[in-house]
Amino acid sequence: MAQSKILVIEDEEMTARLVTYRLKSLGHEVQHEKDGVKGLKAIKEFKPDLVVLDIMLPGLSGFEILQKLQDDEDFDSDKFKVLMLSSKKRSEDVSRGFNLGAMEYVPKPFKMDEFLLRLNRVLNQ
Amino acid sequence: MEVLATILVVINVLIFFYFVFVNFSYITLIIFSYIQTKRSKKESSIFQLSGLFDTRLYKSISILAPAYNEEASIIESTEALLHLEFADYEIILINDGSKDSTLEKLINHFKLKKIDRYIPKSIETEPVKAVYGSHRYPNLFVVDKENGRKADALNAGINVSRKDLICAVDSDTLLEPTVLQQMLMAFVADPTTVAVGGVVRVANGCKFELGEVSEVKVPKSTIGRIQAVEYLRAFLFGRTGWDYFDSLLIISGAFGVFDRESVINVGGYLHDTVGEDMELVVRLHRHYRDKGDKYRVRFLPEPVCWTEVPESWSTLGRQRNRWQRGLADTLWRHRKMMLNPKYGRLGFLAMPFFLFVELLSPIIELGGYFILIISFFLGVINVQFALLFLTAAILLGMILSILSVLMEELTFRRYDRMRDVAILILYAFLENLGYRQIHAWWRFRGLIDFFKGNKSWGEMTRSGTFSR
Amino acid sequence: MIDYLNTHAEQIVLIVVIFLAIFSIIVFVGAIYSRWMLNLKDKKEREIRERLSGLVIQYVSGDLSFEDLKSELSTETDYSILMQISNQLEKNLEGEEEIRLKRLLNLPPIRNFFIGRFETKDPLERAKACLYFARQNKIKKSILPKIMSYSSSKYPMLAYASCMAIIVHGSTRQQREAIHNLLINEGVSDQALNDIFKEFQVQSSEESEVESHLLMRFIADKAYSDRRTALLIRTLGELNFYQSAAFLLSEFESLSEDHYSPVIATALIDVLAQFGMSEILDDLHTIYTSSEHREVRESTAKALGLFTDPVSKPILKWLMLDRDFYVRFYAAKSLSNYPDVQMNELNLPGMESDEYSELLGEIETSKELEY
Repeated sequence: MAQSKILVIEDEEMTARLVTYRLKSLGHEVQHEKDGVKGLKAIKEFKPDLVVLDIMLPGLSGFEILQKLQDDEDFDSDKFKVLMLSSKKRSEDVSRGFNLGAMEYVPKPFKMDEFLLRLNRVLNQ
Repeated sequence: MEVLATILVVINVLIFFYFVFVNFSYITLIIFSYIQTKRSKKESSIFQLSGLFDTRLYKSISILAPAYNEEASIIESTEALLHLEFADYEIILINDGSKDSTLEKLINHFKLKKIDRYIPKSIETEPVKAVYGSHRYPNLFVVDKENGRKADALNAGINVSRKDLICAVDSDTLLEPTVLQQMLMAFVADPTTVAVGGVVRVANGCKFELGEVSEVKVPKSTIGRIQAVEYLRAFLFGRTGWDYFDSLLIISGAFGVFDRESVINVGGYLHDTVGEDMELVVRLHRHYRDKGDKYRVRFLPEPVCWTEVPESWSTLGRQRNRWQRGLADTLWRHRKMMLNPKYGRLGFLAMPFFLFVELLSPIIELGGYFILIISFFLGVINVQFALLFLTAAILLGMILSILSVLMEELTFRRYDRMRDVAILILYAFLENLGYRQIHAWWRFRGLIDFFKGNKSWGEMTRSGTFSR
Repeated sequence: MIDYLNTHAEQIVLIVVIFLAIFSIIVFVGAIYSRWMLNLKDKKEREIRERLSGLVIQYVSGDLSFEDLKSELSTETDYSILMQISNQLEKNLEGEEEIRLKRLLNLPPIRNFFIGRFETKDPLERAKACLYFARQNKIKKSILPKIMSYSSSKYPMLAYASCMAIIVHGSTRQQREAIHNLLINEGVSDQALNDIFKEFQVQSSEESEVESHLLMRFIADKAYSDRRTALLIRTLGELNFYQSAAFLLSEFESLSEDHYSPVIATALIDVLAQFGMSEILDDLHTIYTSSEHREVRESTAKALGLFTDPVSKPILKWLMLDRDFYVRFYAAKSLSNYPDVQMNELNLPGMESDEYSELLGEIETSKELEY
């Protein structure tokens, strides 16, 4: 499978490390940021193909990041895909994520193989 | 003349022993506070299971933040309150009849709308004009009311609150994110807990980022540094010491968590006193002791909140004057508890301590210096004795202050750099050379004002510690 | 005494000064030393954590066997850090990974620790033991009665943990009793009960009937506080137990017109509307629209929007003039669901035009932000 650039923005250390490990062992190039502000910066600099985005982040929340990217005229929001990974799973949160441009929403707690499946689906779209 | 000389000598000796007694009793408090701190640290065992301390499982909290003319900082403080790590809490800001644009700023920034919330009149307050809420920030409420001062505002907040616990804060208090969880633990560990106090630390000089403290540093100014030492000694360790004896009489108005039902049962905050924070705690003690019910009032040294301390001598003086008046008022109102066996350690240990060591000390201290000087000039006292006297007054005080810095290092270690610890030690010395005496003068004036019936609050100008 | 002080004054002062000097030096040196020791300890712990994190990740992903992981653990600190890492991961994982993590709980030092805790007097420690048992796949049936007795403890964390253990391992009758104990314990939050019900659903996965029957029975018993009863009703809604719709409807209809509990009424309205039970419309129109409690009016406004019954239209217009903003808001939002209503052409006496456009704007935002 083709190697992609993936950015994981997640503040829970172990979860992020696990996801990073699995993605790396699948051959992807992975970078990890722990807070919203650095995450936003990394999106612009690392230019990933896919972002695994948590909502509850220090600094800027996942939603705020997506909103800022949409509002930013210089940034082409179509260039990358977003998969949301979050413990918030009320229907309002899920819809909000999709409205802000996410392509998939994986609620926590999650099954790793299901997560990877949905991630692949997003990458191949 | 002989008689006068003897009297003077006796008074001098008495005062000498008074100083020795005061300093040693404070040293005792600090040692017991160390024991207490070590005790509570041992309670967290080696293996923890996830999910047990999930705080959303136990109680809900209302944060009550009275605000009067806070337009400069209100948005920022409210934003900080919205980012606390606690599952089930609400924020109730009480606009106590501000004359500036505090309310307008809040409404505009948070897109608040008037809602028709039913408010039971559990406690009498000045009229509430409206309650504002927002579905975007479903746990934020603003109560707009006629001015009635802090106690009245808090009571209005208590009426509006629907949660189990209330957390009373000052508008310039910055809570650390995990503070509510830590305070909750006291209520969960002992369901009879009615009030819990936490630590107030000096924010001046620290760096704050995104509503959280990122670097803990000593303040830059002399007055700030002296207060940093003072807060360690009196508020951190003094109070933990009292917690050891289960006789905590005072919980800071800047930060305290109470069981809402209990506060309503005793009638809420008293609004014609300047020491409403201490008065409530003493009244809670009295109420439950009178009833004979089991209850606990705790002080936890781990939960920390940060507050801006005065940077000008005049503001500081006014603040200490007010504290002294509040203390005098509370002790007077509850004088029946003094040395009353019905109130156990509170009546026999805590209240007399507060009376003789905290309340009357300015009179004795200043009187002592005065008498010393007179006695010296009259030749009644020789140099040696004067030196002894000053040793008791000053050197022992220095030992006390340095002991506090030591305790800080042994337990919490919040100051990141060794340089700051060294500065604290230095100012532990300096605190006793001049500041302590000035402080005694302010408190003396406070007592005079109390007897004169002064009930004012005085102004506090903010110097923008928390603004970026 | 005074003479003694006078003659020895200088010595006493000197002693105090020397003591002060030595003391300050000790404090300063002590501070440096304790910092240094702490840094060392932190560094060691960080190293262990680094090493174990990598191992746990490999283990959880199936790249490292249980035995191999076990062989890497020796000191108590190792196990303690392992538990911390495992707790952090367990929160977020399900399925295969969760099963592997749970297996770590069987490591002898950990198992012995928690079993020991069960026998202590401290309620918090007992709670930890109960939670441990709840995470296990099998436990000795003989300890169930003791766990059951803990579920009526006044300490909420013990009541919660023991109830959780009973839900996982106990019989149906024991489960019912444990949940009852929790329902009457006011120190336990609604959130905790949600957790219990969720776990209950997981345990009785095939027979979802069991759970809905139990919830209905609790509601019918009328033995619990209004808040708890409302929680039970909402749980039926959250778990989508449509089979309880008829029962809830009868509860709704039996609410007394004059003394109904607002918190129960709101719950019933929300859930029955969610279940599409249009039988409630009559009472909504006649009784609950004019409730003195804003929550009830708000729920009514929301519910009417789900049915879009023509009879509700004038009622919604009336609610748009309510004294509470959010009642007005939800009434307007509900009206906007009607295909034949043009929001900008509504002519409402008593509502200012700029307030009205603000309201419409708020509706647009709410659709974006989904509230």
